[in-house]
Amino acid sequence: MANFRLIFGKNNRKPMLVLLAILAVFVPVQSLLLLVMGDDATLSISTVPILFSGWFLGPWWAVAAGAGMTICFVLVKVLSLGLNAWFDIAVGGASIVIFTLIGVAIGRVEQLNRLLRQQLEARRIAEAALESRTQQLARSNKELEQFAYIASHDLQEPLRKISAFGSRLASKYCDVLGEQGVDYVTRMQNAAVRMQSLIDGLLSYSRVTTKAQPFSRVDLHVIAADVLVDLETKIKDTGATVRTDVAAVIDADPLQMRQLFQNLVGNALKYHAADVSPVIDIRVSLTDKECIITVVDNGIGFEQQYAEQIFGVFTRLHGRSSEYEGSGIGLSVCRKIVDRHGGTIGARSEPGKGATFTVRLPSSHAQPMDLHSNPGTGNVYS
Amino acid sequence: MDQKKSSVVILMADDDEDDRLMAKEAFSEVKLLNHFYTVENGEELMNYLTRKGKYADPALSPRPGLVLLDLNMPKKDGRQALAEIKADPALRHIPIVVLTTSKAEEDILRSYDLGVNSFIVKPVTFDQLVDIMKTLTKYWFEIVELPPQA
Repeated sequence: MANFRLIFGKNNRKPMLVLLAILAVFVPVQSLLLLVMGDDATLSISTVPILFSGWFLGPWWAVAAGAGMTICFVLVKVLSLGLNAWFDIAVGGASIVIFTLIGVAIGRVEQLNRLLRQQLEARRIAEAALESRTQQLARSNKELEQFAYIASHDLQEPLRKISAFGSRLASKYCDVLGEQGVDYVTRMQNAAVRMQSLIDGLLSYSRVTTKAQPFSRVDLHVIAADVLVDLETKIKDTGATVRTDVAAVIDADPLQMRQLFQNLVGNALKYHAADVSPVIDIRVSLTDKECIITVVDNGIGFEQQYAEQIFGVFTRLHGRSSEYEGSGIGLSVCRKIVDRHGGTIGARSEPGKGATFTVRLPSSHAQPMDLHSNPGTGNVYS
Repeated sequence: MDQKKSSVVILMADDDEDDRLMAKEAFSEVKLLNHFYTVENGEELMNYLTRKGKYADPALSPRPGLVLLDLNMPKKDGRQALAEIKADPALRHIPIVVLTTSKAEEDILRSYDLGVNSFIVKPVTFDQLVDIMKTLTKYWFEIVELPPQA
């Protein structure tokens, strides 16, 4: 049955109808041919409709044409020569049958060819759609980059002026302004500084995608060591103890891994109780599937209900007047980086009992979860 | 030293009036206001340097010993002007310091590629600006030796 289908295709549901139609058309034609030409020459001519109907119409038509030919060939021969010529008739019939098989094969090949051409066309259309979508993505990436540039240049420009002329006002006209006047100007300037840090934050958030690098093999031990060197002053100032157990090499964006560690450890250094020196544990465990990074501190912690909120853009659990400065972008950058690496980040804490941040990343053969705006740079670090 | 300082002429090309005003105040703070000249775009800068049009009189438009160049300007931007200056044998020895708001890596790279002498991002506070002007003038007019002017 399977072979039958392979040869004839499975879509043709009306073979009998086709056979009847062919009989109706070819029997009279063939009979006429045989009567007019009368001889074996008709045998070779009669193969033409078989092959052509196979080629143009499909295997079933070849069968139908072949059957039609055989029947009328036999009929006409028997009628004209009688049954004594059975050998000639059998040989002629057999050759028509052979030609029929050839017609079927040609028909099937042509049918498969047509199917292949259709599939190819469908594929071409799908590829064109994919291509246009890729271009769209590249365009929107480009726009995002432009936005980052606008944020860094055009928005900061007026801000710089506010700040600079404010300080000119406060220093040059201090006497005229009076104490309250100077206070107003100072508040204005503080607001400008805050806005500056918000713009910087937004910029570093958008850079996670715009300045993304291809993944390469990254030694987290080296990254952690570099980050601790960067944070050396803060570690000294807070009298912190940092313990590391980081021995893992994964596929990741090296700069972003550095930023991830920097933000997590920086956070752990920042949110410590005034009279307690920070103790920070950085650990990495590696399995076949994933790499688990944990940063544990003994800081002020937070209520577990805020564990999700802290990863939002510009969300902070502490007021501006508190001792904990910041724009509230650090952890959202962490989340964006981890998202790009196809991983997860979460936090567990209790007020006054420190916090634990856990990052899970795929350990190898990871691919960035984005479309690069600068394809073709390859693995620049590998 | 003083004699050297008398030949000090600083030319700033910046389309931003606020920044020109701020620079003026900064130079008045470091007592160099008399040596400070401004133009508003790259085209004017090139006219000034080649003594064309209203800059024909050397007494009014003396040859600068230092050019402070903004990158983003109308008509002819700083990148173009920089390329033209550094391609001109008569002008290319003049130290050019880019003073811009752009921190973009490609701007920094491109400027040094074109032969800029320093690249400075405009500071946020006025005090920082005064510091920069002080340092720049000290460096370019007192510390380094430049080829004699033609």
